[in-house]
Amino acid sequence: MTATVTAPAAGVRMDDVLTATGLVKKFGDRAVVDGVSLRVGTGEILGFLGPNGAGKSTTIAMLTGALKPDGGTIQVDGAEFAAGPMRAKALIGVVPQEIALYPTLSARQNLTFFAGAYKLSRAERRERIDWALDVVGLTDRAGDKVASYSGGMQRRVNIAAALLHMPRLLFLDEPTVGVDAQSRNQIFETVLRLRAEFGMSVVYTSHYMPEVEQLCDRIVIVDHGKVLAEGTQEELLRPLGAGLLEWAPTREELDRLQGGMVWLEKRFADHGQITVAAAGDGTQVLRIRVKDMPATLREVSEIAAGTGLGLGGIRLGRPDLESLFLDLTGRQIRDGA
Amino acid sequence: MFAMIRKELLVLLRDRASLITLFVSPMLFITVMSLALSNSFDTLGSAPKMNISIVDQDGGIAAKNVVKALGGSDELKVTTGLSGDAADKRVRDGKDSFAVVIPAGFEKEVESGRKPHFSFVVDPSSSRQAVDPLQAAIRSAVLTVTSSTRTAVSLEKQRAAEHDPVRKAQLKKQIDKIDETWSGVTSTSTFPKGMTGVKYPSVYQQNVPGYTVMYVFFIVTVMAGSIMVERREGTFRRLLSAPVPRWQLLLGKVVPYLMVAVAQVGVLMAFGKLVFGMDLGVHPVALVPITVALGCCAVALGLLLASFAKSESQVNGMGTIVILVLAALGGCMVPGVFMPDFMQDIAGFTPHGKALNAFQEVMVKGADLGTVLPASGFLLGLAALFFVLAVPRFRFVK
Ligand SMILES: Nc1ncnc2c1ncn2[C@@H]1O[C@H](COP(=O)(O)OP(=O)(O)OP(=O)(O)O)[C@@H](O)[C@H]1O
Ligand SMILES: [Mg+2]
Repeated sequence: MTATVTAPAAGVRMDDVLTATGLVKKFGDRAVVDGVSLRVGTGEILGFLGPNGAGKSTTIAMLTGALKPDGGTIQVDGAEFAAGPMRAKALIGVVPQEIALYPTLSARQNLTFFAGAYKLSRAERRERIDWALDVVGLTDRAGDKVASYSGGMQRRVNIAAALLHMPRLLFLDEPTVGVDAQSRNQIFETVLRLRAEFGMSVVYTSHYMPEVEQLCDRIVIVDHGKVLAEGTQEELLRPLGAGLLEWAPTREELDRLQGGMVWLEKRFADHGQITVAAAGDGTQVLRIRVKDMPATLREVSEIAAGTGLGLGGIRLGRPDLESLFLDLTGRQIRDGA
Repeated sequence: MFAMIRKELLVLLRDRASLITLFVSPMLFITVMSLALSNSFDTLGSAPKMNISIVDQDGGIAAKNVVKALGGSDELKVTTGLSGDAADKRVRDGKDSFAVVIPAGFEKEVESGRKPHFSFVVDPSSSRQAVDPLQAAIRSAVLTVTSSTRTAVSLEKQRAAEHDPVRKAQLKKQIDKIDETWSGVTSTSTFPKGMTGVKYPSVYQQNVPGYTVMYVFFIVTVMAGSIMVERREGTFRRLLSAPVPRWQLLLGKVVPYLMVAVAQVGVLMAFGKLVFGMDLGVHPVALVPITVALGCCAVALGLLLASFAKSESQVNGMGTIVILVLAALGGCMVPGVFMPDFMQDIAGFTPHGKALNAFQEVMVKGADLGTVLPASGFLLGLAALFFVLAVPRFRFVK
């Protein structure tokens, strides 16, 4: 278990462990992945975000060699994937979105099998399996059938199976779905520990925003098979400005207001990007992506004083990935979930 | 690769339903069907015409008495005065069920007190069940006639030697020896010239290989089913991300099920042999190439099914239909000898029929390695064809 790579100091850009350019995958006529390019730095945790059906899992399948791309190129550790798929695959670990295990076998038997698939020697096998079981905290139940495990425990075996060969790059496709807070924290710590101890790079897909915000150095947002945005959190949130201000006057207030919503919209024209949305009971809500919060708040109090509009309908929000996501895709990331 | 095989066998070992299908249920079938059909198999073969002929090549008193004794009966029509060749021809032509041949020297043997010998020339296609008792009756008739002839002759000779003490002592010795051995006649059965025996399988020699072949093909659904599960659960996709070439993944499915097929044949044949005393023939080694070829054929068909089926229910539905129809056509359930000729012809072209026939050639007729190679080759060819059809269509992921 010697790691030749050490964790990078923050901000230091190392050689990329993976780069992909212009990936395309078509099912029939439909391009499910449509020109995705991305890079993963050594020791980097990359968040891979997108609503359901965005093409995340399909992209991962191509990046890991499970699916042949219809277009584009992939390099792993500086070498073309297609030129040496076995070598590339040996450097990569995958935790699939589904629990891809044999439920009638025990955790240990499953891990023994996958260790064999990754060509670990007999001696290595035992050691690595014990280590992986320890990492995911399942040493006690290793002899039990996987089918008898809780969902969270199965997820953890699913992760352990991808660690046995100590990949340089680990793909985690929604590893925390259906997992309670405790298990989720454990998975979390595992990821951070793997990066810290072995300089492992991670591509992390999740629908759980706080996770991504906390965990990922860089984020790629995709939808309809295309990359919509890419960068560090800071870079991504900067265009969102200082925050979000929503103003939802009551019906009576709106009726009393000369010029109505249109007038209000005009007053804030210089304050940032503005959208007006219909609210449930026939009223409307004004949403401003604020550039300079104190200036906007001064404007709000002036308007309130001048028109007699109440401040009860005002809500302030900090810019976050959730709102960025909504902005970019027009969809809630968890699609109603 | 070894890991794949080990995993597959482990998974199968945990799958009690499949194990029962592959191993236990054929045993039950064999047992029940053998008990149910045991009577009908003993009468296999045509009912004999109650016609026989007797050939007397000796012409002595004992022989004449035998001919006389067998001569008159309502159930039995006896032709006498034929040469050996003529009698042989009558049997060959199906006019007589068998001929009784009393060879030259018969009289001498009777006189000297040795066990006299005669032979049967039997139509190989006549039913053992009908012929055997008739032959037994004839044997005992010959015995009765020869012993009474012997007694009569010796009494006569005794009287003639009344006044010759030396001759009398000699005779006494001779008679004592006759007493010791007179309880016997010996007989052998042969087939007419140029005819080889048509031997019929015993009820076990039908049911054991029959249900073995049928259940080996259940591997088709078990194997295709396991492929569908790996597709559905995403374990195949996961393995595609591991440094394992696709052909190894395929072999990782094929090899363990081939091993299971061979184990099935081994277990069921041993079951037939140990529990029912089924005869495996003179060259049981010849069962091996058939077994391997049969296994290949079943496994390749499983791969083919997995390549074309769209769902697990389709695997079970289509698989079961194919298995049962082919088994029925191939004579696994109803033996070929009960079938009309055109059905027997069809059976010969099913993998089931080919395998079953080859097994029976070995077990019933004592065929050796060389004899079963063409059938094994046919099965391997079929396996290759299935394989070639399956592989280009095979998908690891949904
Ligand atoms: N084998 C396939 N055949 C046809 N369409 C497919 C196939 N696999 C995926 N798709 C389609 O491709 C699109 C992208 O699927 P993918 O699983 O990559 O999305 P995802 O971003 O991982 O979604 P989720 O968040 O739900 O996991 C979906 O619309 C899906 O229906
Ligand atoms: Mg997905």
